[in-house]
Amino acid sequence: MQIPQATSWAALAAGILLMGCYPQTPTYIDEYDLLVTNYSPTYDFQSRSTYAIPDSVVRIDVNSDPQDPEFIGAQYGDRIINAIKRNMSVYGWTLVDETEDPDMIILPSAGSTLNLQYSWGYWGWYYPGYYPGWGWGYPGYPGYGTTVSSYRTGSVLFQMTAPKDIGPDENMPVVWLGAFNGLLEGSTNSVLGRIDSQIDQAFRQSPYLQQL
Amino acid sequence: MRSNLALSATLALLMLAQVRNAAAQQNLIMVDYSMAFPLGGLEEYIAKNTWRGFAAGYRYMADDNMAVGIDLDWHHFFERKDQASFTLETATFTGTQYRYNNNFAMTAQWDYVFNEGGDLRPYLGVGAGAMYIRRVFDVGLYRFETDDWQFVVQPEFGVSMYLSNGTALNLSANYFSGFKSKRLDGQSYASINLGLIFATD
Repeated sequence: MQIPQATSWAALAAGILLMGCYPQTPTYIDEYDLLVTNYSPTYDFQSRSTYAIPDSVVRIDVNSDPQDPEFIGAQYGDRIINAIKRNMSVYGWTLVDETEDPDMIILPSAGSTLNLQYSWGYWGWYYPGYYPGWGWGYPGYPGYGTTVSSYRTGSVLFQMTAPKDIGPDENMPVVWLGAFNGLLEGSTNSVLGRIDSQIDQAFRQSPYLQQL
Repeated sequence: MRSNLALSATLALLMLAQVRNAAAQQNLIMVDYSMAFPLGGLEEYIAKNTWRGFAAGYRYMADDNMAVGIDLDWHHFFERKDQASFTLETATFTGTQYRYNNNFAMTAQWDYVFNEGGDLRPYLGVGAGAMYIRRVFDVGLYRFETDDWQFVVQPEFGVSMYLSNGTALNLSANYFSGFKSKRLDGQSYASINLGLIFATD
């Protein structure tokens, strides 16, 4: 048997194969972006038509004072809020002031904390400023806590709450949410572009929010 | 898995039983480059063909026409899905997906080789054994990994063209039919192999 010849052929074949086996991985920063939306399938979004949204985006920070939350810079915060407003308008919702008894309130937040464990009761320290005495908590839809559990880099979260549907336990139900995270890299314009595209996609994949 | 291995062992013993009265004594070692086409449950995960594969085998010529032995095959499947969505219950996820599947098959083979004494020898065979599958799903900053063993049946046909000094060119087509296991659907694919056969007494 031609062992040396066989060995040479095998080595050549192995070399070619190894050259081709380097695993393909993401090349661009936005390829690491991941968006998730979730909703309550029993909620009748068509029975609601107005919403309110704060002027600033709360900074997610485990060290912040619950009574005195910090906000992210207007450069990014305004972009997030305007993107949400634009999409809500396209879907036929009417923006009103929070003092005008809105059907829904959308609560945006953002952060860059590594390994932050998100709590569904997060808004308990924020919105009592608008409605004194209310302690808000998340009712806990099955599966939510396992699909959105941590944020490793830059993250944006926006929740649609239903203030008119507060239960006897005074928990404010979150009936829809969108969240995305990715690497906080690239130019400001690149990050702003990713904010727009991710929020647009969040609404695009949530057609149940469309007002008929 | 235990029943799969038992079935594989039984088939291997049946094959070896057929060569206990072997007349000819010849050993063949096969080394092939292999490309593959996903089918069935694998195609649902990755639809793209792969050019990344390698096959090696050993055959013992029991007589002028019958050969038994083993095959070792590796194939790496990959597909990128740009901004793709998937849904789990009421949650919808969107991101660029990187899907990988590595299949390692180890089978006992039985072949019938035609045209004894000729330079061009077609063959037809079947085999069975185990396949180890390692699946990786990357989306965003997250990675999900699954691995499992499956029972696999591998029919094949091909042709070898003998050159000189016991060396032959080999061209074959193989079909790997994996059976559903605990964590994965049946992983099936077809491959085309091109390589060399080295024969010795």
